Amino acid sequence: MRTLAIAIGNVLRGDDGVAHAALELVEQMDRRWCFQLTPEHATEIAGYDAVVFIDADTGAGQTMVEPLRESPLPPQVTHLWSPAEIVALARALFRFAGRAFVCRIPAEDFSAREQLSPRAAAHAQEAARQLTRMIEDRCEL
Amino acid sequence: MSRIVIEPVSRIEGHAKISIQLDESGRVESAKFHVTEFRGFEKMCEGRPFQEMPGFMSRVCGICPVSHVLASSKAGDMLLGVEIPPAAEKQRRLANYAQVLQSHALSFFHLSSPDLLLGMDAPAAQRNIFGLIENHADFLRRGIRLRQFGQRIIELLGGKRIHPGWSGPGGVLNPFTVEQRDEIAAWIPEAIESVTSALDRLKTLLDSFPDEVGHMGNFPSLFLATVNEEGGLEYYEGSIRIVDGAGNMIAEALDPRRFFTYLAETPEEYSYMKFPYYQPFGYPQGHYRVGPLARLNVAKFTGTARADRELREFKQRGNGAVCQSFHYHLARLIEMLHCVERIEELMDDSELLGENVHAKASPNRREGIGSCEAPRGTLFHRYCVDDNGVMEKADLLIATAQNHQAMNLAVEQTAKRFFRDAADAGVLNRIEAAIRCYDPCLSCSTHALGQLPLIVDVFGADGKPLRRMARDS
Repeated sequence: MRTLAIAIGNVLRGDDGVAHAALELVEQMDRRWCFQLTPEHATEIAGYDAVVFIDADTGAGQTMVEPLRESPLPPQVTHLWSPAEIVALARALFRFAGRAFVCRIPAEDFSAREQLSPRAAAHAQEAARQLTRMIEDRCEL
Repeated sequence: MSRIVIEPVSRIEGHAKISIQLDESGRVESAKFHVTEFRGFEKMCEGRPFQEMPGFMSRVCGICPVSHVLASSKAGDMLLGVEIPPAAEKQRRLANYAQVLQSHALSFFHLSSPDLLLGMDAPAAQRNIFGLIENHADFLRRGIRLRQFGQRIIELLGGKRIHPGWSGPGGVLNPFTVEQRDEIAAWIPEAIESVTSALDRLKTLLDSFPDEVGHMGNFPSLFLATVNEEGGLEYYEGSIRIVDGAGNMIAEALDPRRFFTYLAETPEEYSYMKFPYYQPFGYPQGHYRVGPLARLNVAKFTGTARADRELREFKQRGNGAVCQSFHYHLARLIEMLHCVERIEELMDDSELLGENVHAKASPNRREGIGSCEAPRGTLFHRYCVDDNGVMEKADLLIATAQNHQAMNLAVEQTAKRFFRDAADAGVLNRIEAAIRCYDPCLSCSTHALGQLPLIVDVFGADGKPLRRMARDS
């Protein structure tokens, strides 16, 4: 099963870089790192059986990999793109027929620095563990 | 009198609002475009080594970071007093073409084409990129791929698509490889076909928008852009030329390194973005336009075959100069075609693969100035350093700011022509679309970042707010 993982965030803004740190620890899948999602990501996921978007989440109580909640084509008026919008675009335009997941990693400190908070660093390890297990289980969550 | 405010303005880069003042009879008396974000990037530079500036300045903007890297690198070259190796210059030129290509693709396909393909009066919930999928899937697919092409070139050169930091004072970081060249070359035929088909489509669509073409920012103004020695289209190194709305030469062979001697800025209390003007004409008479429309008005030719054919046709749309803001879209597509052609030429240029990519020197000057043509127009960086190369002052003259007064005029003309009722979403969209012609990047022009809101406020004759129309994102 070909799986693409996309880590989202700014490594200069503390815990916003936690997805980048987590993905550095996972080698069993193709990987991309980005500041934010852009429409061309829809073309990149098209050839994969599964995609997982990894991002910092201030609202997450614990690290969690789960199926992406997909929606019908949403109104889109800005240049800020969500995983659901990218997947919708990929399905509509680039024949993406795979499965989509999100990995939410708890984060708390977004100050201007390159280090993660101790809590986010621990969650990055946990995220890597869950992502590795997901690959080993062939994305059967 | 009443006043209307549109806030936030949508499908632009940054925060802005529009206010419309109505008279006693409810007709539009005046309209203004307000930029409501502030960042102060120039101040943050002070006290830092000038060698850091390209990486630092790339953070001004996530859409056109390459332009800031290039202008900053060129200012650094001047501080060092060096001429960079040909391979480094070719890499910088390649990055700039890629940047113009990807930025224009974002503006045209992602932000403006919903208005053009679905109509200005289409429901706002449909008038977006997803609204194009059902009937314009191939058009949209090609637009996304075009932007991906430009972004991929930037990634190959700079290691990442956004905020690449490979260029600095004296040159660039690494030689360009055969593998990178071959990957880029393989994209060229598809890119040419995609831009050409979009151009043909737009030229057909323009016939459907006679009122918008004629009245959404159609006014004479000065136009300013960089040209090469022969007066042709140039993005990286050349002289500044200014023409007027009739195409008359106002100034030529101006040194971009002396921009502060003929261009000046003035503030207005209602906007964080300043108002640049051509000094000999004073303010506001000396306001001028930059960017795709200005470049094609100023240049005698593009220097590439396909784009030159399009330019000759384009110039027929004006009388000496094309003054309709709506034709920024057409100019943008012609520039995209030109950029793909230039990228193709560079793939056959052996100098691009040169191993020597960096001139080494210590600081030799106290002042460095760099300029280039960014997607939205001419960009200037001016740095002053102390004897140790520590930044004492930075002055950035940004393309979007240079279009500030033109956007004001476009908003006012559009409001006066189309405004009947503040509840008419199509009218409000036309007012926004007048701004989108300029593809403003407010993050750059105030050196700020954020989401993309637009607010329209309506004010009564007594100056009290009557109504606010806002979009959430």
